[in-house]
Amino acid sequence: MSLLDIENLKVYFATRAGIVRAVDGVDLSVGTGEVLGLAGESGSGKTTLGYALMRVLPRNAKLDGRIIFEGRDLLSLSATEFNRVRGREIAMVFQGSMNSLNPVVRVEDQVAEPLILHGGLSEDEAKKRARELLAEVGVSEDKAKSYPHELSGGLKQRVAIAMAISTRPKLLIADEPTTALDVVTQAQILRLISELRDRFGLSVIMISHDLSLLSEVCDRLAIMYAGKIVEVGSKVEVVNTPEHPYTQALLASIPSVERVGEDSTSIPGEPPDPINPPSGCRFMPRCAYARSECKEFNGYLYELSSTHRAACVLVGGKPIERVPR
Amino acid sequence: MGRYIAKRALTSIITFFAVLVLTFILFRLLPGNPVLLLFRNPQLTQQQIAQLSAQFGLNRPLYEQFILFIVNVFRGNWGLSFYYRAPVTQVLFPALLNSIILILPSTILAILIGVGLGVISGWKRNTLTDMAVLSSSLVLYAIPTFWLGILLIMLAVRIGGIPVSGMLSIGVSFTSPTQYLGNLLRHLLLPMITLTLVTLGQFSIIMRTSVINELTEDYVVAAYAKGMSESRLIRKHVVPNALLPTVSIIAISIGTVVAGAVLTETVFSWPGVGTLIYDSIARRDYPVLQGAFLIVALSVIISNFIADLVYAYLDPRVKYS
Amino acid sequence: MSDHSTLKRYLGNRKGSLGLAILVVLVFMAVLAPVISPYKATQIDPTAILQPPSAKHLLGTNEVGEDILSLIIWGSRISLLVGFLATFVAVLVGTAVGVVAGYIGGFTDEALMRITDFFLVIPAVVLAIVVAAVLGNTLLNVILIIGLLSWPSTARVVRSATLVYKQMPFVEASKCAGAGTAYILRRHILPNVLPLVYANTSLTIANSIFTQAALVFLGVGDINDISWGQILHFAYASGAITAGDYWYAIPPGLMIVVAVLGFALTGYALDEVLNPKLKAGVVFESA
Repeated sequence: MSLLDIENLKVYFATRAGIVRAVDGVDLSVGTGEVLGLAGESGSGKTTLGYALMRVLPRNAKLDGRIIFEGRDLLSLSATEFNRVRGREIAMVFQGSMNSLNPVVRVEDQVAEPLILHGGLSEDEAKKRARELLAEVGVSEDKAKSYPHELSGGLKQRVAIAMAISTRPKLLIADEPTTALDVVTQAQILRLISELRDRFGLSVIMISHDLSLLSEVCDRLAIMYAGKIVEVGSKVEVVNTPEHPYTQALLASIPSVERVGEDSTSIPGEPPDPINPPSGCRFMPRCAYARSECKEFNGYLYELSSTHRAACVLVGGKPIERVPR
Repeated sequence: MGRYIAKRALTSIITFFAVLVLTFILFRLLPGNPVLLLFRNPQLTQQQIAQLSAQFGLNRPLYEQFILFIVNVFRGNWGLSFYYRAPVTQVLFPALLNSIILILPSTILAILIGVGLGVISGWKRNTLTDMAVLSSSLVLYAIPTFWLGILLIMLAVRIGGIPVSGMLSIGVSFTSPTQYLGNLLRHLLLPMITLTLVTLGQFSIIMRTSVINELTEDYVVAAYAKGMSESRLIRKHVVPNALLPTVSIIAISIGTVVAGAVLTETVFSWPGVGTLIYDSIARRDYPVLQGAFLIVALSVIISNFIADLVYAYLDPRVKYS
Repeated sequence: MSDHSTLKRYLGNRKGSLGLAILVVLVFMAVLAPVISPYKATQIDPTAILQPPSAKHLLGTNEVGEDILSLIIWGSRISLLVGFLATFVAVLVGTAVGVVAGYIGGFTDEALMRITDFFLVIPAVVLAIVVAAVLGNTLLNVILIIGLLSWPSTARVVRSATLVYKQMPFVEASKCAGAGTAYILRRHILPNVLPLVYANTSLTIANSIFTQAALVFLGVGDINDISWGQILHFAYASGAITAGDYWYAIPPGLMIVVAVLGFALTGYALDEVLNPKLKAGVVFESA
């Protein structure tokens, strides 16, 4: 049973230059205890999607569609009602952990804050619990009273994770949780997230531009391009039998140990202008297999298996019933 | 933190030394015989002139004069006021006390109100509230101190009963300390309003900008994502950080506060250092002018040092380094 | 402001257009003073001493029978002149100090920045009073004093911009081609740095007008040059304030406020248009 169902989600920004369609009709679901990887280039709308789930968007943003979380539409909740969901049932680890901690507050106080806000704990109880949580994610007791600038990047990321999971949320959104960390620390952080999933049945949406990293920890993968999902399926399906030319190109651009010596091809061309995206398939201008039908393509996700879908005219399967508009 | 404070203290000392050099040069540029100019007493006898010249080393080479000048400054030998016929320090220190009575409460009030308004304005930016606060802050910033004083005087005269000049009613013998204090506070009212208003505008603009800058920081989004109200976010996360740049800029603008104080004192004839400077120009009382400049510069340097300490206290990155 | 879109963005900025409108009116007033002023500035009407506004004297008269409106129109000349010239001096010194400190770096930078900080910290108005009192009260002295005390903020802005531009590839390329320091500064650094100075310049003019008015009010500066500060000086000194002669005291102060606001608004708007913040910020939801 799915914990989260995103239906036809649109996030538009009104700017001076025109309407930026950052997320443009996304359908996606996440099951309980599942780790979903969301991959895409920068500007594909993956981070905006994460922000939309947390409802932390700039004032000029317009949201449309439905976000069904445990049977409730999150977009229909009032700001005050959503304050009890945000940070309690859905939490987020933000990109660039270095900057996501308040520089003038001790880390144990920052971890304790959600517990005071949502757990009804007194300040002392919350701090005690915060130190336990920090120990759980590998930040030793003596570091708990530190200020962020006294910690290494890896430790700061652990603090950010402790902050997010302190209230035992059901869904964790992790946006590039390992950027700017060295390889060893990266692996440790990924292992930590997997552990948390195993121990608490936490569902995770992991957002990254790095498909190889996602394929290490995720159960399912979704590929995003220019505000739309272009392919989604189990990890094995997407990595071993990618159907969308963009997914194929992304996979081809990963340098891998098996293919040492081969050129890792970067995808030619630029992502489309989010204000005036090309009509039809948005990947067409950069696609090696582009043909005339692509101009008329309306973004259908074709069903390839019960779990695997791709949005490309070249794909044989039949369109799924609910058509993304 | 110790190193930071030591470094700041050293900077302050160097700055004060630079002020001394500047003062020395400035008052040596005066045309004419320095003794006659500095003491401007037609009744000075030749012998007295010679004696004064020796005391202030005016017949020695320039570098010796400079050393003597420094020694005299640190010994509290700041020369003689020709107008008051008394040592400059004796003239200066009561005036300094009077200035502090006016400036200290006004500045504290201006910081509290200005910073408070800046927080509201930055938080509610681009709303009607923000527009109202920002425009009034801009107008207050653009109002000349002395003109605001003039407007208040005209208003007070029309209303009646509010003193518009001096520090205490003249020719009144006070029977009790409360009566004395009450009289002082009534005189303090208008100058304090003037100085507070002209100062708070810039503080509010600085704090607003600072709050808006902090709101673009990642940690603010991360904190908000914990599920708290906007007011808690502002109070607990934004303000403690936004105060840091504000404190540095307020420190730099202390010189402006002092300028405002000089003008306020002059308009309301408040017997402080500002009025003393104004009177000394008219009286060509250069020793007092020199002393007043030194004391003003010293106050600004000390205030800056205090601002540095406040900064160190507020920023753990400085405090625990 | 050379390209079209920048100009358009500037005019689209509400603060900017208001500020610019004020400046245009003020400059016209100063230039056309002989044409639009109802009387010669120092023309005395002995039948009207300290008279409130009337059809003959729209803003009334002062204690010697001069027309206030005419004084204000003529006074805009000195106020603006001091504002512009003092700022010219400040920008000249500030740009020179900033470019040299930023480009040469090292000890020169350290020394120049210490001096800059010194001038930033010392109370400029008080120093100006003392210097003017010592050196003499001519208009030129006042302009020089204000200018020489107002350059530190420009120097700081220019220095940080120079630090950015001296790392640019075109500077490196020019160096490799054998260009001298003076050539690089003139051809590559200055043209890029100057747009950043514009916003600062506008604020410096506002400050200079302000300082001049304050100095004249305190009796520092040539008391015979008609300026807004000077009118207020006499309004205060003649006792017109305590007598409640509002027409004498309010208009000149209002002019200073309007002029300072005009330049300050222009400065803020230029800053917003020429140095846009990259981050949009604003995290709260629309709800």
